[in-house]
Amino acid sequence: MRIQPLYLSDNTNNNKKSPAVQNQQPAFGRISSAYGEWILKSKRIRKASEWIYSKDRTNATKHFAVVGSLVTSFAYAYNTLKNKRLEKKNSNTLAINQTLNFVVPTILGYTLDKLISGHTKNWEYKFAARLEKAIASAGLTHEEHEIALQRATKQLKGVRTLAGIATFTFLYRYLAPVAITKPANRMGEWLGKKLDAKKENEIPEARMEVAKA
Amino acid sequence: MQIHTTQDLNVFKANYPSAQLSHDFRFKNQPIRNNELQNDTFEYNVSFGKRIPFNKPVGQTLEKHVKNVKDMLKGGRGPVDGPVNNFLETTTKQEVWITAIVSAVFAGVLRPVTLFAIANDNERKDMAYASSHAISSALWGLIVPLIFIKPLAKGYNKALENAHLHLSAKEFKARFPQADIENPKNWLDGKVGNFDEIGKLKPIKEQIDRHGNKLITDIKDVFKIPLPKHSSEISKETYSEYFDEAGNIKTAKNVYITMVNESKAEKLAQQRSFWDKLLDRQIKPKYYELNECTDEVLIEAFPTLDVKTVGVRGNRDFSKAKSLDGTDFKLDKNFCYVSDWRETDKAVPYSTGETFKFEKTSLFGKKRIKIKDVCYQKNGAEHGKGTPIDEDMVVAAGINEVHNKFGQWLPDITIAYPRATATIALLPFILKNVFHLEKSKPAPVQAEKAGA
Repeated sequence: MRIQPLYLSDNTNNNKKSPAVQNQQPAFGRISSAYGEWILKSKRIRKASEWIYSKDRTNATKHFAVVGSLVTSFAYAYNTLKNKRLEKKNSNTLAINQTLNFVVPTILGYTLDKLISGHTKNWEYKFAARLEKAIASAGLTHEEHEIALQRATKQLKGVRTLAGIATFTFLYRYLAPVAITKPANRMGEWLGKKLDAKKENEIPEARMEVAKA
Repeated sequence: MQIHTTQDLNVFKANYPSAQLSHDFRFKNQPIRNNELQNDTFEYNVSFGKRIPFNKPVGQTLEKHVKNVKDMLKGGRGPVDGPVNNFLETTTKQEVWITAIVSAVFAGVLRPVTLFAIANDNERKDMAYASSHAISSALWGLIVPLIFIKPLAKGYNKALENAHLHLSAKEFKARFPQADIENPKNWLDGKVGNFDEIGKLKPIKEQIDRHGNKLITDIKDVFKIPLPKHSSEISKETYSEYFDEAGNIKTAKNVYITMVNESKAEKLAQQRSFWDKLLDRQIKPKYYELNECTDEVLIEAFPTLDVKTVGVRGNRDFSKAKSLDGTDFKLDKNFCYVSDWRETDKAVPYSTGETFKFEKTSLFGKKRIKIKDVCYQKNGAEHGKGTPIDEDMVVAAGINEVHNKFGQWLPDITIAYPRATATIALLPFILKNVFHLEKSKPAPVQAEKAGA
């Protein structure tokens, strides 16, 4: 029973160019195709995937997001500490800020992800039910049904992936920078005062040594 | 039907909406609410059947059902079209790009608003600098994935769609265990060739799997059914399709039972994770179709039933059912549930009672064996119940997912360091020279006294 006229777009088959035209892809298109084939066939990547799956069978998006943030935070902290234009205490404060902006949200992220996993499943089931009902009741032809099922699979996967992305991004890019900045600044000020006190003790000793000489 | 429980069944014969049962472990220290009495499956999935007589229509009528579906298909859209659907589909295909968009919202919009909201008068200038830094880093975070990462991820997605061209038959089978590489119909030249040769298999859309159904490589979207509703809770139209006037079922298809005995309930309760117990997540009931459920399920549900008299699995008929002692067996409609989209908006995976053991490993290496129900793909007749999803398919699909994420995230992780270095170098420069924004410098320290 067709409820109403349908518009179904199959986004997966949009490339209807002939092979001759496809071979004339721009350079970056050929690079991306070569990259895709290399990743697909790579045995090292496959072994790494098996190892990760053996350790954690939940959605792995969060682990990749964490690794990306780790590299970024390390880059920030390392360059800040190396920066000679910044004073030592300022660079220490910044580096502490940047390190805490990785460590704290990472711990919070894994905890929060575990806590909301039940809710994420419920949202997924609700969305799946809505899709199922709509597809079952829409009166589709066989081909339209095939396309709808393929797209429904991708959309369902997207629910849990988006939940993981939103959780970690919220913590890394919003909560941590807003909440951790002040405590990190105070920690940096405390460290700076300690450094200043150390310098003040070192200066009289240095002058005494010069006077003796 | 013998129910394995400690509860006093005689209490349910009369309608006691507000009775308190002292030995009912579900309702310890709590009065029974009206809707809970009507809800005849509870924590340990034991079904007592409802004794309340069927007398009124509940659930959607056909007209309301049609209207609901029309609301879902608003604006001439298909069932899988819409802004939310497209966004979720893009999330699967372009994880890094969607992460950048979500980051841009948090860092470029919410963070500046919050910083200004919490700043006092002295910190306004610093917060203006911090906000502009956040906005520019959000924009920079959009530009880099758009130029470098999105096309690479697209390349990987294309390679994945054409996996049959890039992988040998052996590698294809390792990725998709349900593929039938020994079937000549799946080979381009119609003959089973060398399993190590690349690009000799037919396109994925034309292949058939080891059960003779169309090959579906993704196992996420399992075959689901509308949440079964009790026979006394369905509308009159639906009831008349499945039950006759005497209350007997007309067909075993789409009619479900839900049950588990106490020992199984205890095992299920023990298998609950720490978080399930902490958050007091309820065990959801499972529904088994009468037509397709295994003989073990029927024996467990109806111990007095002679299973040989109801026909074989897939072709069951309860009209001539007999008990073990030779007497007629009447299937009480109070134990029956009906699954129909006109009655509900919820869905559950289809289950027949078949199970497999699945080893689950936590992040800290703790192993636990879970008993999982076998789910089915949607490649059966008329997109119905098809290939059963076994453990090897589940494991392979999990590894494939991680492999796919490598394809999406590896470029992002590779350029993370140079991107961060460029952010540190470029952003303050751009903020200072283009937008004339600079971080405020601290007040100069008073000169130390001479001779100190």
